[in-house]
Amino acid sequence: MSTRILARSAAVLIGIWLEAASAVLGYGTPAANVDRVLGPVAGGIAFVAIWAVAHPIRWATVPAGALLVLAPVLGYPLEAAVSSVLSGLAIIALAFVGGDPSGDYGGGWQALWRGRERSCADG
Amino acid sequence: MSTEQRAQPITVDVHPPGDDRPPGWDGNPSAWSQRLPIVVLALIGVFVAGWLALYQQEIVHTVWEPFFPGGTETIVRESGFSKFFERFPVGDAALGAFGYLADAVTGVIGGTKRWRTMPWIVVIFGVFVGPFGVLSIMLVVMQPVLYSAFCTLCLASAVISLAMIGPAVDEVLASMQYLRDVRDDGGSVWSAFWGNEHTFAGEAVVA
Repeated sequence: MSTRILARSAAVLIGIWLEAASAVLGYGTPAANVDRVLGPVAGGIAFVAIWAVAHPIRWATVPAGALLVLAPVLGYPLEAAVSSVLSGLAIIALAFVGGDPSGDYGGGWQALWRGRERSCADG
Repeated sequence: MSTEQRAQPITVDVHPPGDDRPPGWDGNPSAWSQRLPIVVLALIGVFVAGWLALYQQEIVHTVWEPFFPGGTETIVRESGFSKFFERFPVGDAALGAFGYLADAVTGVIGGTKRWRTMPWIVVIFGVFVGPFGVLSIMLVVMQPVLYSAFCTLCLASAVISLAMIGPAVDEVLASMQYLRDVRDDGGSVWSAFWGNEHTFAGEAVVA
């Protein structure tokens, strides 16, 4: 299995963890609500990015990860703060894993703003 | 990706006539092998959302809810979100079912070269599939945060709509690349969008 699929799957699992964490660890708002907003957002985006052609969308999980790292300033109990910071750091780090898809997609998304040259192999 | 690569122009090989793959692609995103799984997912979505709609309208009285006792009832019958839709002729679950049906129909229309022959249907398909995924994430957020409940079939529906985006978006990319090529070649993007195939300079005319 490719590192892309593994890295994105790991981020999806972190999203699922965030959805369940407040019930598992027993904490309430504001931490519970922040987790249950950012968890589905980061996990859902990572899930879509499993498919190679959609892989660049994984970068959209980074802001969600950053918010998770910062969110404990809202006044989190210790276990919620640890969960939030570790989850956020992991989401950010994972975005850098998996690489860019190879050029099998006609130049990919960047062909849309950069343009491309067409060459007819048989003249 | 290095900055050196970035500076290089993107050059793609045009496949010979009769080969339906987009220029520079290893596969054909409009092939049935690519599209049928999406259509199957959409039809499962029609079933899931359709069941929720029948339960919501109190036409059927049982719904599959193995994990969150009472959760589905809270979400699809009692939540403020669902109540909001009671002033309209159709509920939110029924709208979801129609959305999946639209995914299935726009997934089926057109041949194996529709990324080029019918960009408009590919774009409509993408518009149905993409924003639906965003909406799904919003609905997943709303369940616990606003209503302190979960609904198994609603979560299943969200997973289905997100799973359709990746397989669907490659075709949208191929159509948009084609339209960009048409513009760079001095052709009419509007005309190409509606299916008047542009003939590129140096390209053999395919009857």
